[in-house]
Amino acid sequence: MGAAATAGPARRLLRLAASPAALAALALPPASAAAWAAARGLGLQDWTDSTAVRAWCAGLALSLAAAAARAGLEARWPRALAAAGALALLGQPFAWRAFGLSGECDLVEGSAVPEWKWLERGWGGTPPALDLVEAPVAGAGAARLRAGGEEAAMDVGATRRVGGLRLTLLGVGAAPTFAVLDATGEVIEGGLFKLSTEAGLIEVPSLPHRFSFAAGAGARLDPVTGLPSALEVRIQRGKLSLFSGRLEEGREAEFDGLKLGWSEGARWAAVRVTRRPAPILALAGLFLLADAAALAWLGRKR
Amino acid sequence: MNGGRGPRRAVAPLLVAVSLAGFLAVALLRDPGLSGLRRWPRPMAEPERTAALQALGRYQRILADFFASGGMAALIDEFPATKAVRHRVFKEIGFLRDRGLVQVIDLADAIPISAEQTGDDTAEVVLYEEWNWTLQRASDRGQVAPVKGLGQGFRYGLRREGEVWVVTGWRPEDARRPAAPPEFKY
Repeated sequence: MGAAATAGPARRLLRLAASPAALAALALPPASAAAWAAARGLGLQDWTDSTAVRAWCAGLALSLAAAAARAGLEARWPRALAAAGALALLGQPFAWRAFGLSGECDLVEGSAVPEWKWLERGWGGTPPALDLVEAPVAGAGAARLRAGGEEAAMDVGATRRVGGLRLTLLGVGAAPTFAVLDATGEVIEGGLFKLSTEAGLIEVPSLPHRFSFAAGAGARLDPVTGLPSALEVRIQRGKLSLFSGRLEEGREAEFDGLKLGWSEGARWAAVRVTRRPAPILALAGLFLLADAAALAWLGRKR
Repeated sequence: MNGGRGPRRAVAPLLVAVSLAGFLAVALLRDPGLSGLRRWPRPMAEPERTAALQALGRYQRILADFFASGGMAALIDEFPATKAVRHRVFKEIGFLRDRGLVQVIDLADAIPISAEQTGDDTAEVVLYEEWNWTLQRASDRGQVAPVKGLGQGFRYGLRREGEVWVVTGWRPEDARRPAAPPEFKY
């Protein structure tokens, strides 16, 4: 009697969860949100990262699983397959989010460590290994990128699949070196910096100063080195601006008893990276839906 | 899927309507990106704006004290700044101390340009600041450089920790001294 008493509410709950009304009530809001997101030009990520979409899709997944289980228990196979197919299709965008990634990074010639400007990835999306093997000077020729052991030559603006990644080469430029010298002329700090029209701040471990270098808007670049004859340099310590002006290659700016100079270094490339796993769940879902349709058609024919 | 055996026909539209309303409510509250109702950034409202500006005033006063004393950390617990910012300040003071120097800085004016809340507990404030500064020998406080003036905009990042705002970082900002006098003074 006890088993019968518990079987009753469980069966009723399963019937309610698998009902067309419950399925419609749970499917309609995320479907409407998908249409809204598409109309506003939002990405898949905006949809999958929404709390409301996740909650309703989790409910819908339970409802579809209940519908598949119930139809299976009643040996209504087309219905069971259709519910399982819809469940697989529903899982695909979340699988892309969990295992995919997208981002933009700067690569410096000779360095195997990408500098990510932004990187969005799910818990299964590991950051890829990327290399800039060679970059052209002043936009001549193609840059060579390496990802996943595969190498490809790319022009600026081109998009290619390399090593399982979709890469877009956004731009290439010069990465000169800078050096800070003490009063005796010994180099105490130095390194490469990415040169662009906008200055970014560079900090070094042993000094409190911040340095910025910029090509300056409309600067004429040397066709061989890809560098302008002078850079706009700024040196700050705390709130104080100790140097601000144009500094030619080979010349030095003096500040706080130290000197700063720059010279030709390497090249850098800006790359957009996306990885989207194969749509296995979507294909499985379509296969199950096709099976369900075929079984239903055969059933009607008999 | 189960025809007339499921919820009664009258219940189905109600269920859909309730679900849609619930979804909309959650989306509006939790998903500003999807709903199009992004809450941030927005101008800081009172009393938060005044609290953030007062924190910056305290930051500037204690900062000037740190420099003038050559790094006496008596006010360190009252300094409204993160550990990283404190580290940066003392790195600069240490650099000067190693060279036998003390920097004296005096805030002449700080004019709020903008104050925006960027999250529940984060904000960005832009100030146009005017400072006078000079370098002295640490040994006898003799002046080693003439007094210079500085007029520059600074964008401060702030984070609310409990009841107080603390500085998380700052960077120079292109800003000009506003023509109209500010309403707020430290």
